[in-house]
Amino acid sequence: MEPPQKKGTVTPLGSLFSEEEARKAASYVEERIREKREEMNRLQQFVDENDNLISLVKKLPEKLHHNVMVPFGKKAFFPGRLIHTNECLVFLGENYYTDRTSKQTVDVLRRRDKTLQSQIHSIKAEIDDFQTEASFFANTASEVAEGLLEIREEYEDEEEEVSSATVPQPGVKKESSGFSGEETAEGEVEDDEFARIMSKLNELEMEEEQEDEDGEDKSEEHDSPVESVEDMVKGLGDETKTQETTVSVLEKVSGHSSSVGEPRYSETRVKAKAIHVLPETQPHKDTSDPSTCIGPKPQYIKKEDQSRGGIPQQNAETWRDFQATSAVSRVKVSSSVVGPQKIESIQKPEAKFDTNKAFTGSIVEHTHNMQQPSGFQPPKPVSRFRAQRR
Amino acid sequence: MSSSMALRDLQRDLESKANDLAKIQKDIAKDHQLRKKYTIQLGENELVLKELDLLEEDANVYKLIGPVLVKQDLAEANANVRKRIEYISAELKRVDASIQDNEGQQNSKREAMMKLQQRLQSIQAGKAKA
Repeated sequence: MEPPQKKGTVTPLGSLFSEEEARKAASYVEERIREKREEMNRLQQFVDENDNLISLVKKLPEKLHHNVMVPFGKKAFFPGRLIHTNECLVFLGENYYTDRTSKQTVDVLRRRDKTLQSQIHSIKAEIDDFQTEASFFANTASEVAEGLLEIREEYEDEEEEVSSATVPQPGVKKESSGFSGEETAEGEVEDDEFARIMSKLNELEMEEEQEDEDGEDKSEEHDSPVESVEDMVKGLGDETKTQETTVSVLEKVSGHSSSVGEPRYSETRVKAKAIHVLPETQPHKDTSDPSTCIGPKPQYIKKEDQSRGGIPQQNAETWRDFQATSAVSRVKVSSSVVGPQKIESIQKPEAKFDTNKAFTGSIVEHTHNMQQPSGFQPPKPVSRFRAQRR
Repeated sequence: MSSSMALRDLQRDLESKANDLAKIQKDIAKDHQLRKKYTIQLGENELVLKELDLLEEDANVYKLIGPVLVKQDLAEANANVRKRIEYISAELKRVDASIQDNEGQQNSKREAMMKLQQRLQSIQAGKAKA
């Protein structure tokens, strides 16, 4: 019902990363992985050689001498004998050598093995890292190929939307279900009444529209609501009816007019208009009463409805007018109405006025926050007020 | 006429900047290689030092100089290796600084080039219009 409510952004993933780029990145990372693998293999080879050497050095001192083929130059070998089997000249690196016994040599080699292992370990970790990276890139590429959309919404915005857009619909459902139950219970007599109310509502809506077109004459506008409230009260006199009207209103708003009769269609449009205006106007007003959030809300909305199309500068005026009118309506309503809901709604306006007076001057910026709490309850309060208003 | 002159100047400027940039990039690559080499050497030297520390006092230590093994004092070898490590670490630091420096230069050159290119394009666009 409020299409312009979107505050988030929708970006096709493709506009952020081209598929080609993602693939390139993936292949680059794959390349890195291959390099690392090679390095690891090399290290692993060292480790193997080292192991062999260790076993050899361990075996050497077992005999006093070994018969071996001694390499002579590059190609030639001659038979020889390995003596001093317990003595090794160990290369330490950096061209340093040292004489060691076999046992000591094995220790050296073991230490070397340890460092090699730790290196292999770190390379493995790197490879893992690269692999996750590669899979991420590949995923991104495929997602881009699939035309994935990235939808971003700010948290607050989301809540707001929920409050103003999605919640009311559930609310409608609930209420309508409740309503239907009541309807069946109360019989078909109500249907007539209901139809009558709807037509009345229609009338009022038309009136309202006209007024809007006339340029808002506030006193008129306020009068009509009052009257309508009175009428409604007389006609319905109890909760069921207010709820019914609520339902119709909401349904119109949300655009499901399935369960409601035809007459409402025309209203639907009007309603929708009114509601459209709400979000924009609301911010200014809502800001004034963070503390009174719940009760006042209906009032606010009503207010906005009336001043819909109104210009912000007029707000102050409207407020005053509104206060007056609502006072009137209060009186009338209280005289004629019995239902607890009505009383509630009346009381709310009162509280609101006070806060209102206190706050009219100050306009606070963070309206959205305010709106959320208000928006959340609305399904009922709003509708009540609506009913009252008519 | 003057605009075409300016254009030529700009192009020449751009070319020289591109050359500079290429040079700097080469330097960076070189430094990176050097750095890699030094890190490997440092690792090796540390290993040697560890082993030397583990040797007993009277162990024979030799250093391979050319084709001959020269017997060295353990303490001397130890000191040599330490010095070598110090030197390598200093070199590493120097190379790191030079890499950073070069990268900064590279970035500034790149920006300058971007600006030049934009100016060139705008001039060309203006010419096309005229």
